[in-house]
Amino acid sequence: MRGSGERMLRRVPAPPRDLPALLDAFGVGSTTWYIAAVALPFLLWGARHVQVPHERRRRVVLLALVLLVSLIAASAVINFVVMYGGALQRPGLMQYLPVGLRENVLPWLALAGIVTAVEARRRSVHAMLERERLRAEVAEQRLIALTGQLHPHFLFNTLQGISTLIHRDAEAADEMLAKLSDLLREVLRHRDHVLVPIEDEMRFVRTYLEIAQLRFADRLTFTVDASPDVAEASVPLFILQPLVENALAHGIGAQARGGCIRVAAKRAADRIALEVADDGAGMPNGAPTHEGIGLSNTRERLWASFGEDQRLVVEGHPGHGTVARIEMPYRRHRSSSATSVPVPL
Amino acid sequence: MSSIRVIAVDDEPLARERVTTLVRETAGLELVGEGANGLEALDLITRLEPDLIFIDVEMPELDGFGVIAALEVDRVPAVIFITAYEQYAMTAFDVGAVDYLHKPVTRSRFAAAVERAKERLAARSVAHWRALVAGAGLAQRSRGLRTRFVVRRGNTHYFVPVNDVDWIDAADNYLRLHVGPKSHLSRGTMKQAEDELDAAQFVRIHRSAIVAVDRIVSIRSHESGSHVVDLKGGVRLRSSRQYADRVRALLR
Repeated sequence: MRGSGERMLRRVPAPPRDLPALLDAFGVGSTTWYIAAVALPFLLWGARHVQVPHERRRRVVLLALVLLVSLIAASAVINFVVMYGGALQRPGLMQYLPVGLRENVLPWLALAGIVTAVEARRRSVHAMLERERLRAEVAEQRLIALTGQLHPHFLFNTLQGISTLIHRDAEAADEMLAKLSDLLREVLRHRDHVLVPIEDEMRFVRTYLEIAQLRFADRLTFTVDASPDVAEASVPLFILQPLVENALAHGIGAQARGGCIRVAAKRAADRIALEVADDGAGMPNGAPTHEGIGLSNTRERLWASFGEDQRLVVEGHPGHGTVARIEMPYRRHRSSSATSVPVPL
Repeated sequence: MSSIRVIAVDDEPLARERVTTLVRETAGLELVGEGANGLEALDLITRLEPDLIFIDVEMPELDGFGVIAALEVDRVPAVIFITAYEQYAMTAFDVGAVDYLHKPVTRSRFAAAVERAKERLAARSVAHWRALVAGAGLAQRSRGLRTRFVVRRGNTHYFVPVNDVDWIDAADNYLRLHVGPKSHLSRGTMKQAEDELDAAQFVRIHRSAIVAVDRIVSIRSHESGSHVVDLKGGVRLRSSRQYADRVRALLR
């Protein structure tokens, strides 16, 4: 190795002392640098669009090396042709090799280094932003879930109800207070969750409706049913609550005779359908001029959880009531115990 | 001093009962009626002419502000809003309510509100009533486009959906809503109606005429700069020059 190095040194001029000569020794000014400069944006673009799945890593590295070597070889050949193409006397391969390497390997290696560094930096920044975005999204989801589920309207009307009952029927006040506590406990228990077992969701809805029943006195009846084949499903936290709230407001609250709310969860193949139906006046069909905040929150949350793969349809049957139906993919709850999935952070 | 006649309105019986209990316990107040929704409230106010009403802001269909906005100016009770929402407090004051009470309503806060109401009632004035009704109308408007009108016949009130209305003209302080062969009177001015209605659905063609765009059969321009507008059902209206731009915009 050392011998061959000495031989090379002997064939090239002694190391130059002045700057232009030094630059020349590094190949600065050779056409290769210009070709490399032109190639830089293309290589950057290519690197940007290369996806490296973990299991294919070695192949991609190998391909990059092959590409680099062929670039060097190609530019060496081009250089050779350009320099000596028309010359009467061409240097032998061994004579050209050191010059060729110096003038071709360096630029391309430098280029590869630049591209790699720029791309690595870009990817790390991108990954960081993506992480931040996900974090923000999860936080926002949680916030929407929490603000969506317990309206001040609900909470304070319930408290007002309790304060009424205290003077009239202490037992009933006690019961209402206990139910409200159950509900608040549920909210606190799930404050860090995005997805919960359907059992928890149904229990929440049932407690919510029991309280509403106390508030609306005899004007409200309800059923809450989950078919056995959805028992292990997981659903977005409190996803039904705005629908139930709507049913209460427009189905029951709006009419003096009161009414009935039916909440059901069913499964069809790999989908799950959640339904909230009331027997109120029925929302006039055709596009509602504006959707309540509750409904648009629900849409947003479904979108955040399932993307396109979900539907929320609200159908009014004038005179017969309104049915709100959510369809989404059936997902089994991860743990068999009744604990919920914590937010992945 | 004779007792103050009170009605209480809340869509939830339990919540309402808290107020009615407090009213009955308070000397000088007499509960004359209670209602479970906005229309009932209007009926009660028209029939009983109470001095003071306690009304829940958030009720389905017609809310507390909507009730006040639909009142006849010559008989407006003093209003105390009851609300579960912090943010309505400001609105309640802007509207010119005597007071607002947060749920759950406490005895001491209730008593304070009643005291304020007594002061207000001692100095009642038509100007104040007007301001109250107008303020509630503003509060109402800030919450979106109108979807229906409140209409009164005798002592009962009912809704006329905006979509049912063919055209509207002015009649003193009222809007005359033409629905097919029938017409209904609703409180309000043309200016208010124009502001509250969806501009894509209704267009004002005259100082005293607003028409539903989809009821228009034909528009013919007249050399004076006005237009002749024919509606379904054979109604022919003439637009005035002042509103010609809006009519012309329809032709585009």
